[in-house]
Amino acid sequence: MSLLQIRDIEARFGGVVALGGVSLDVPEGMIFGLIGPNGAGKTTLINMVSGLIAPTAGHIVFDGACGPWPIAQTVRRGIVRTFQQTRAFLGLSVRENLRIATVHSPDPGSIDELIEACNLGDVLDRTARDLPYATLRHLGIALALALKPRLLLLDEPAVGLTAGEVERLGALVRRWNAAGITVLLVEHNVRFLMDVSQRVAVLDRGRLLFEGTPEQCQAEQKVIDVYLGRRAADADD
Amino acid sequence: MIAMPLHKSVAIAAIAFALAAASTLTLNDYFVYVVTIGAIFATLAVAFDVLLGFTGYLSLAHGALYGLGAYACALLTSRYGLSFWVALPLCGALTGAAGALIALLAFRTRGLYFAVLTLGIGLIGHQLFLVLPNLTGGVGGFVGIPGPEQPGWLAVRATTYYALLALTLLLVTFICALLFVRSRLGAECLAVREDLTLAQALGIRVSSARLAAFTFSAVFAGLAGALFASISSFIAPESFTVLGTGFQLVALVVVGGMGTLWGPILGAALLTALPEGLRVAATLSLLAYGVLLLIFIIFAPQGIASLISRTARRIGGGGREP
Repeated sequence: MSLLQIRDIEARFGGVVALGGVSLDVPEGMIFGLIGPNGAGKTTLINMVSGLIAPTAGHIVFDGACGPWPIAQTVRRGIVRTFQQTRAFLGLSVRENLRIATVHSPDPGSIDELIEACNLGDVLDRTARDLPYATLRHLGIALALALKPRLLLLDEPAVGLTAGEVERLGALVRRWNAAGITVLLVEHNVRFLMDVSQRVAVLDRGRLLFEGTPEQCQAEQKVIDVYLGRRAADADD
Repeated sequence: MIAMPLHKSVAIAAIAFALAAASTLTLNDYFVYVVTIGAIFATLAVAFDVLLGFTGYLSLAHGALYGLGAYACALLTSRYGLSFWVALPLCGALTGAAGALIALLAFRTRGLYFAVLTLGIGLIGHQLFLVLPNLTGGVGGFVGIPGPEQPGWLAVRATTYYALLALTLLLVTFICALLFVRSRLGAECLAVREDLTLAQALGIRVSSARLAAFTFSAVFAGLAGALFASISSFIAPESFTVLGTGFQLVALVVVGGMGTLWGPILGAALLTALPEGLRVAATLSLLAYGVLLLIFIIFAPQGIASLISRTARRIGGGGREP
């Protein structure tokens, strides 16, 4: 059974329809990729699954229980997100950041694992504000991982990273996934997303355009037209 | 920032306490009084720092909470004949409860509105002290508050005894604040201060953390008020105004160094000693507070505490260089 079932989720902001009835199934243990042009509704979807905003219609079923729930409850149920603009406690050291994130953790020893899993060992006493960009992104994800999520929602984790950093990020995502964390990944970097994800969904203007394996997705004409093609055209300019 | 181990912080605080306590045995009554008032303001400042420095909320209601503790103590000891030692915890409980109520109301708002709402509560509190003469003595003040009973075995002057009480309250407040900010709740308060949205996304109990911080600071503000009333024997509403005590607290904590706990003690020591040392009138001392606040916000927003730790690091770091 799917860990996360999104059923006919709808989001209206005034007269604007950001999501018009989207349904998706994310099976347990999978890295599930979500792409789409700007304004397709990807971040809105993440915001609703994580409970940051409530959908105007539809359900979110997680591990058999029917939501949506407010954010405090989604966290307790094991759904944890990161942010597009990396959020960390900027005025505090990396160590203090991790201490805060693990404040409700039943297993205090997990901080060490986390430091290791996110390559933060060398910067523990640095203030988050002073970290290099890629390291700050790792910290943002480490904060989410500290809660030992069952479902990790990554909102554009590769934005602004160099090719080498993206590769390292991909390796880390695979490692966390291998440790049992289901991942829902929203990403603009198509190559990274196709490379890491086992299954991909494409959103366009608030609707689900396509769902399948990365290979099927890359071969699908309507996806190429709407998204990949546009990208290629952009690149030609 | 690397936090000092708890036992080391407590040890340093205890040494400072012992030195200050010893000084009150030798100083003349006037200076002992300055130490007493300084310690009471330092207690207020430490309690205030838990909310302002560690949780990130500027309350202007704390002058009124301080006053509530003072009037409650005055009433309980003089009208109901309770011992100071019974009245003191009651005053703390009362202001704690009042603080929790204010917090429940004020945390429905954010940022600037929080400050403005607490400003309103501070003004209402001060007005209530004025318009309830049956309870508070009104504008004429509350006269004849019994002092704290001095145990027979403690053969010191009454002024010294009061100073010792104030210093003890400061030490207890400091240690409690230290334990609070290093607890889970304290970590959650830091998260609230740094990034409310991220805190929520990480499952931090935002409401209970900031409620706890506000209540904590209210309890100790009330205890400080109770002690102030008891040792002053006379209190009047002008001691608990928004622009007097409420604003002074902000100045003490900002000048001393927000979010450090020990900085506000230095701030209180400096800003109590300064007007006394210069022998200026109360209005001029408020002027001095304002000017100092401006200077520090512009040139050293992290306060005295950060100037000291930066200097110490430079000396310490320089010493380790080969």
